Amino acid sequence: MNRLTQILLDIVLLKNAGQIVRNRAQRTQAWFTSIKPFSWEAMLMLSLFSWFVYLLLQGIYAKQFVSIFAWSFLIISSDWAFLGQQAQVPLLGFKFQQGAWITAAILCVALLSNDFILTQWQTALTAWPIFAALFAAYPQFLRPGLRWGLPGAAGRQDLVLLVLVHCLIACWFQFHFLIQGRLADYPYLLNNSFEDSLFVTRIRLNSDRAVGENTASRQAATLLTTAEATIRQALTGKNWSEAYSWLSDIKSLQPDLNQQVMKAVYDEQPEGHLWQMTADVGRNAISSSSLDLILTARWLGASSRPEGYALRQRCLVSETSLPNPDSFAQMQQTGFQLTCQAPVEV
Amino acid sequence: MVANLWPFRAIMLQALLLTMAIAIESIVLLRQMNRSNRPQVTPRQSIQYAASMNLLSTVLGWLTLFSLFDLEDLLPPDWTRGAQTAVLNFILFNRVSDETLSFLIVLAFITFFASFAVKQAALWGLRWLLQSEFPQSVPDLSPDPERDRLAAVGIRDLRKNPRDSSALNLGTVLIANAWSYAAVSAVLLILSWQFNFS
Repeated sequence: MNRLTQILLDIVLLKNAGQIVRNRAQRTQAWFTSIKPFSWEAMLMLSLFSWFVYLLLQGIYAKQFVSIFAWSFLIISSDWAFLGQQAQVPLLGFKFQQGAWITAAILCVALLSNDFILTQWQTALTAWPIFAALFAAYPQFLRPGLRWGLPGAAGRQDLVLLVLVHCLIACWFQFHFLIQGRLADYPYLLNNSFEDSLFVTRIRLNSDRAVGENTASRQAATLLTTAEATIRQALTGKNWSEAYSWLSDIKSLQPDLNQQVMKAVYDEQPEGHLWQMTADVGRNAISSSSLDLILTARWLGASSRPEGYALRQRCLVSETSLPNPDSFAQMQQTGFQLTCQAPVEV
Repeated sequence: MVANLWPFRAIMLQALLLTMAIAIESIVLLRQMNRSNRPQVTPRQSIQYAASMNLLSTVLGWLTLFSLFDLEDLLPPDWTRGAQTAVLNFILFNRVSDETLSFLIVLAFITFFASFAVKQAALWGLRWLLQSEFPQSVPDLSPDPERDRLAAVGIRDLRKNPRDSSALNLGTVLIANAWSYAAVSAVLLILSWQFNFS
C-alpha cells in the first residue's frame, strides 16, 4: 500500500486523526517558513489570500477592488515564476518563453472578468499574443538593481522580430474572427463546399454533420413556404375573379412580397438582403381556367457553385365553387384553390 | 459555439510564402549590400533584416485588410454588396470572376510598391535602431553631447550623403522585393492551377 492510500484510509477511518492533523500542520508550517518573503511563492500566497478575502466579501465594488489585487499578485507571481525560462518547439527549434504566454493569458482573463479594455473573448484572444510580446520583452530592459536600460543591438533586433511575430499571430486570430463574423451574418454560406479555398478549412464535427447538407434547401424552402403563406393570406376572402386579377398583377406586388417574406424569416439579419424572391404567374397549359404560380428563391451571395443556388416551387391556382355559399349571389361566384408541389432545386 | 471554419490554410500558406520571401530577400540583401569594399551586413544580419522587413509589411498588410473590412461595415450595405460577395467568393471558395481577377492584378501592382516603400522604411528604421551609438538610457550616465548629437542625426546622416548610394540601399530593396514577389506569384500560380485542374 502506498503512502497516499494510507493517508486516505486513515482519514476515512478517522484513525490517528489528531496525529495526522498535527503532522500536516507541522509540514505546512515548515513549507510556509521556507518561503522567502521576496519570492514568487510569497506573491502567490498574497494572491490566494486576496482570493480568500474576495470570497468573504459581499459588496460588488469591494469584491472588484480586492479582485484587482488578487489578479495583480497572480500576474506578478506567474511572471516571476517563469522568469528567464524558455521552451523549445520540438523539430523546429524555435525558442519561446512559455511564461510570457501564460502570464498574458492570466492578464487577458483578468481584464475580461473586470470588463476593463477587453470586453469580448474574441478581442481578448486577439490581444493575447500582443500582451505575451510585452511580457517577453520587458525583462530585456531590466538592469541589475532598480535600473533600466536599452538592450544592446542584438537584443533590439530580437525584440523587433519578437514583437512582429506576435503581431502576425494576433492578425491570424483576428482573421479567424473576421471569417466567423461573416458566417454569423450569413449562416447560409456554411452550406457550401470549402474544398477549393486557399484560406480556410472546414472541420466537421459529428453534431453538425447530422444537421449538415439539408439546411441549405431547408432555408430556401422556409422562404418559399412563407411566400406561399403570404400569398394565401392576401388571397383569403377573394373570389376567383378578384384572385385572378390580383395574381395577374403580382409582378408589381413583388418588391412588397419580397420584403414581407424576408421580414418574416430573417427579421433584421443581414442575410435577408442576399435572397431574392420572385413570383411568376402564367396560364396553365392543360386547363385554361387555371393559373400557374411559380415562386423562386434565388441566393445572390457568395457560393461555391458558379451558377449560384435557387429553389423553385410550382403552384396551381384553379377555379372551384365556393365551399359553403351564404347567399344566392355567392353561388354564382367561384372560389379558387391553391395547391403547391414540393420545392425543387434549379 | 464551436467554429467550423478554421483559417489553417491561410496560416500555412502565409508561413510558406513568408519563409520563401525571407530566404530570397536575405540572399539578395547579402549580395547587394556587400558589393562595395566595405561589407555592410553579416549573413545572420541579412536574414534578420529580411525577416523584420517582411514581417512588418505582412502585419501592415493585415491591418490594411482589417480596416478595409471595417470600412465596408460602415458603408451602406447596398453599396458594398457586390464587393463583399466577390471577396467572400475569393476567400471561402477560391472563385474568381474576370472582374475580380483584373482587380486583384491591380491590387498586386499597388501592393508591390506599397510593400517596397514599407520595406525600405523598415530597413532604414532597423539600421537606425540597431546602430551601436544608440543612446543607452541608463540613468547613471552623465549627459554626453556627442552621443546626443549622433542619436539626433540618426537616419539623417545616411541621407546627407546622396552620392554614397550604397548606404541608402534603394536598389537593393527594390530588387529583393521583385525577386520575392516573382517567387510568391509563381507559387500562387501553381496553387491556382492545381486547384483548377483537380
